[in-house]
Amino acid sequence: MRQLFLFLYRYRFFFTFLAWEFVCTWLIIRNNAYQSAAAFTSSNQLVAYIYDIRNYFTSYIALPRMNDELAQENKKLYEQVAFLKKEIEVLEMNKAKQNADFLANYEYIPAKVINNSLLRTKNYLTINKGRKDGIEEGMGVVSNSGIIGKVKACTDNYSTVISLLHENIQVASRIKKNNIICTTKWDLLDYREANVLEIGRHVNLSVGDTIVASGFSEVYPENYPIGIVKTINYPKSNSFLEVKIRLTADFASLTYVYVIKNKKQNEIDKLEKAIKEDK
Amino acid sequence: MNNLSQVISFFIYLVLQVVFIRHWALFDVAFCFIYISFLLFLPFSMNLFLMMLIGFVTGITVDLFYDTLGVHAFSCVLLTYMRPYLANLIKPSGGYEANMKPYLSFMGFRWFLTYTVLLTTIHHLSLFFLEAWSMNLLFFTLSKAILSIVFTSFVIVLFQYIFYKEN
Repeated sequence: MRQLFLFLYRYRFFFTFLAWEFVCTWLIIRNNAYQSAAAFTSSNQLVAYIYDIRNYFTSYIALPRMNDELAQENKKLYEQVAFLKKEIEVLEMNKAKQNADFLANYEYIPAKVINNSLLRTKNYLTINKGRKDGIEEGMGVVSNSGIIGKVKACTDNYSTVISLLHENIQVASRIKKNNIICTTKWDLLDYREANVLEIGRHVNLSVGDTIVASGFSEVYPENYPIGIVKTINYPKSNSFLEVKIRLTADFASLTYVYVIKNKKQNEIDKLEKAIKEDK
Repeated sequence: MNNLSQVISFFIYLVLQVVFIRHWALFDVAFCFIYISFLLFLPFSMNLFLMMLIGFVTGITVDLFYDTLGVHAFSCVLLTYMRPYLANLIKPSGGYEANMKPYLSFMGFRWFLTYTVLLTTIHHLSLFFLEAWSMNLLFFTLSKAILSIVFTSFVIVLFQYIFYKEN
């Protein structure tokens, strides 16, 4: 027994060291799991508050650019409104309400990005809306130009979003022109680019084609743009294409994003649960 | 008095790190983790238990801001644990004297550079590989780590010339 105590005493620093590292490793593993406590992320009140203050000052610098972007967006929206007005006339004439129903299923909650990262293998955003504004874990996040990510955790006033630039994120997507389904996953190297997986060699695909969200997951609206095909490789050893896309969302200058609330999520969950129970 | 200045420097380095230096990235691959200089400059005589505790607290605070719970804490604890052994390895011929502090102005350029680069290397290598959490992209992670070691060490030495001169 005495020997044991002597041994422990002699290596007391080493054992303390091991204990600390064990705690850290446990934290890392737990945090790598998909969901985790909001208290230990950047949506933590104090952390988010500090980011908010910093953002208050830095946002002035970005104002000219943001004005430009908003003006551009406005222009696009006006065009869309004009287009949609025509569309509605046509739809009403055809009495085809399906499309309108679909649009009514989603609600867009605007939020400001108060913190963003690009250059790590696991990137996150913090936004200034939380549970009070109706945001919940798992909701999709988009910008006006493309898909951004998925809500990881939220507190009352803030949320942490897993960016599309995260090694564990995959987006169910498809090729817009021929509806062939595929998966988008970040390439870990460049925040402007991503890989598209699971497209067979026989598929007709060319540079410049648009990849959009498939809408299967019900997290992102169907047909929301993800990226534009940049390069296509035909590997000899693999039956799938190696496709690289340029992301349509500009992650480096994100200021405003929209959190997507699927109003019918409860119904969908209920249905899917019923199917699971049936099995 | 000395304790108070340590606490103040803790907050200064932390604010500097998470508010200002967070977005520094040379060529998109080299990062600066200046906050570790707080751990480098703790007194030589500090108890190792206390030092590891401080390392853990520092790391976990930075983790909260970086959304990498545990990663920085792991590297900081490793850094503080290795510190006395490395300091012993590169000790000057007369050993360390009671009034010595691990600053450039006390220890000289060569000692300080060796000390900074060695500890920064330990911290950054463990940090980048823990963050990557795999050996995929080995070369990419390694190059990020090495360039960041150069960047951080450079900034730490620069800070010594600017802010720690009067000592």
